[in-house]
Amino acid sequence: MEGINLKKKERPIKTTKEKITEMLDMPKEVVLDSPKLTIIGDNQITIENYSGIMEYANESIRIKTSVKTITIKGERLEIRTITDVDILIEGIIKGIQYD
Amino acid sequence: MFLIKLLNIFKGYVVILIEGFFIERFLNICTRRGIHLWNVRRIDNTKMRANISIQAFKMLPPIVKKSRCTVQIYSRKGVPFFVYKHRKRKVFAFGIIISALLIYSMTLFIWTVDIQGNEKMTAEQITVALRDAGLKTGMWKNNVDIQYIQNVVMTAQPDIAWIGINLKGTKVEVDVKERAPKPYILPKNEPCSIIATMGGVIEMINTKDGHQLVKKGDVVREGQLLVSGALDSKVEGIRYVHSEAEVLARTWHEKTVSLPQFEEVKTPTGRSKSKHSIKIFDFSIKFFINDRIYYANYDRISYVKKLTLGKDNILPISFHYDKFNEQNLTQNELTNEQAIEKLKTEMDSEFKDIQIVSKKDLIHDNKLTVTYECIQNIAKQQEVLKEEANDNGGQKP
Repeated sequence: MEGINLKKKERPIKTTKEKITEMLDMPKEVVLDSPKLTIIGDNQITIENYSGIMEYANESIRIKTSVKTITIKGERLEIRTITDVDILIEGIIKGIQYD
Repeated sequence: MFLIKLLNIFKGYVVILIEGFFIERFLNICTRRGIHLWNVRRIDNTKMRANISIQAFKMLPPIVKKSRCTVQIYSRKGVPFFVYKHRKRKVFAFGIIISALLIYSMTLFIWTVDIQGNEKMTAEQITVALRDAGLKTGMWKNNVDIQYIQNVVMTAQPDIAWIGINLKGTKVEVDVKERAPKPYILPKNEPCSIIATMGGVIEMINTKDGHQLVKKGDVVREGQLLVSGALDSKVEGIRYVHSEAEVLARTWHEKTVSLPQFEEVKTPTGRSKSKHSIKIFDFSIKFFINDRIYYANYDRISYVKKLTLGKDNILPISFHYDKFNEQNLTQNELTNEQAIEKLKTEMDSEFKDIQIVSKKDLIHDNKLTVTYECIQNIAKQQEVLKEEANDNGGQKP
């Protein structure tokens, strides 16, 4: 029992700010500036509210966002369009990872 | 997406080749400065290809310097570059303008007239009527006075109750409503009697006016007087009235055909011949030499494709596809059940308007007889002849 008590306190799933925005029914991605991912099938992904590209190759694309770095793994990945707010990636998507 | 692509082609864009070790940095700077890139493709570790608009391309040099990349133009695409490339070819430009004008001028005429709603009148009759009123293919669209043509056709053609004309591109849509024939109704003040149109057994008789001569259950023959329009009374003498009655009778209809019955069956032999042609105005260009078809029996499959601009602008050029498939005709003998079935469908369509109570079929002596028992209205008004009225009206039931 003692071992469990000694463990570092777990991070809460939602912060107070997130809870308030949820209560007020406001769009989270706008208020909190968090990324919004839209995946269609297994071949198209749109990321809104990203802050920059960290790595770009055919097999993996790493995108920096305000929360975490998102790594998209796949085959023949291509950036279909890129603007300052969103990025549209096409290709065969095999995995999405947060780290 | 398609519209964006079209817009890009009109505005023109450049495909650039970016080379360097910090390509991600180049992308990030571009996006931060509001430069829109599309179709970004990684070629290898140090190379990348991307599309960029002409205006944005002019903003690139400082970014190139900052990200320590090199940028090369891979290809130029779109209308502005095309125009620039062919700026000295005056005849070519002239040709483009002329063809555009020609196509535009083609749409200023009427090329097809579509007639709908005609049942008894043929399309040719209506086409002729329209031509007489001043509407024909090949005329200038501005010369069409719809109101005038409608009035002329409606007054000239007694069979047309209403005509609607719609101009749609190079097509004229004509909607015709035919006048229904006027039913023969004897005027109310004209004296008449009622006779039977068919022999049968009276099922129901409901006389509103006139002298009823038959009652329910009576057997009547065709043409027999059912209700007389002549009323005889001792005080006033003979009086003539407009008799009215509803008479329902049980009637029998018989159909006989000989057995066995045959049915024609078509089977394709596999041999076929195609004849294609292009028609420009009334002149047709044929893509075949021999006009004749040597097949004894064949099915013809025709297909016409008209050249159009959009949906409604039909141009006077059409493609005609004709295919002739040879067929073998064989006569199949039908079994009795099939023959009865086939006849039944034929006869049923004949007795559509009247109520069929029962039907009986009988096969006897290689003959199939189907008897229908029906209930139908057999009343028909007929003008009273004075002498006849004296003969029949005088009788008392």
